[in-house]
Amino acid sequence: MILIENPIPRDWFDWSNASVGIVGLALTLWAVWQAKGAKDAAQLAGTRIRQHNAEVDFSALARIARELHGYVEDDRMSEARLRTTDLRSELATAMRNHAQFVAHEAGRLQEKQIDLKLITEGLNGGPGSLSSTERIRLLRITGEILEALAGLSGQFRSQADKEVSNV
Amino acid sequence: MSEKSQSFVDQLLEKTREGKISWTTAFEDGQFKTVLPGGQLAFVVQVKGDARRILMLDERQEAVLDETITKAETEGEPEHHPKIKLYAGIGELQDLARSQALQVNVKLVQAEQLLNLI
Repeated sequence: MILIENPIPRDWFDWSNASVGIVGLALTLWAVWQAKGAKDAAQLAGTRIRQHNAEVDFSALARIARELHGYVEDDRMSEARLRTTDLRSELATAMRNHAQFVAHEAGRLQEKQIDLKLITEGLNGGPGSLSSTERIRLLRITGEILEALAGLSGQFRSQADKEVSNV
Repeated sequence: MSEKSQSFVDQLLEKTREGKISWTTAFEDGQFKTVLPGGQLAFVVQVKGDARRILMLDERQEAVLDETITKAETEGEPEHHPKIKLYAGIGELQDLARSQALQVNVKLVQAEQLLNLI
């Protein structure tokens, strides 16, 4: 107020008033900057936690896919059928929970889900009903599913590593 | 439901011929699938023995439409019966999907070229 009414400080009292005002403004700006920084940091931490959760979930999915692929390799179709059902439901949950991180792979994952649905249906006919070409195709499809899930899990891990090294 | 299935089969035939839809092999023999852009819907076409099937799945892989017709169901029906048309349409679509998924034409040309080199 003093500065507005009388822009030129005349004595020590005016100078101290002006200084207090300037220091106050600086402190306010610093507090705002700190608060924004804290908000950004909190948001970044939140994103990192969600990204870490995605990595954990997709690693678990890759583990199930590896088991499924192993059962198919060993011709253990009853176990493979159960693992296919597990993988289907777990993948659906992970896709829903981590939609923001898997958006770029949504089409590919959706196709894998359809593969899993058709495998479940096909294996319900009983393991004896599979032809030799179906067994070969099953190996290929489960291999591709494993590759896709392990790849995504690896992507999340390397992103996290990159961010840690940037800090 | 046959009417709806027929309409989808016709549209899929048209889009496949135009090259707007691409098919890939699915798990079972004679089974092919296509996921529409956006991934919200997928179609599966299958010929198994004398049974022909068209299946439409939503984004949760729930079967929105699932129609199977066997040869026996079409026998004794008049020539223009919807089931006969659908049976033929699914067969044609599966043949087209198979050709595209396995790149039959490309491989036939390659085979001819290779044989000519011998």
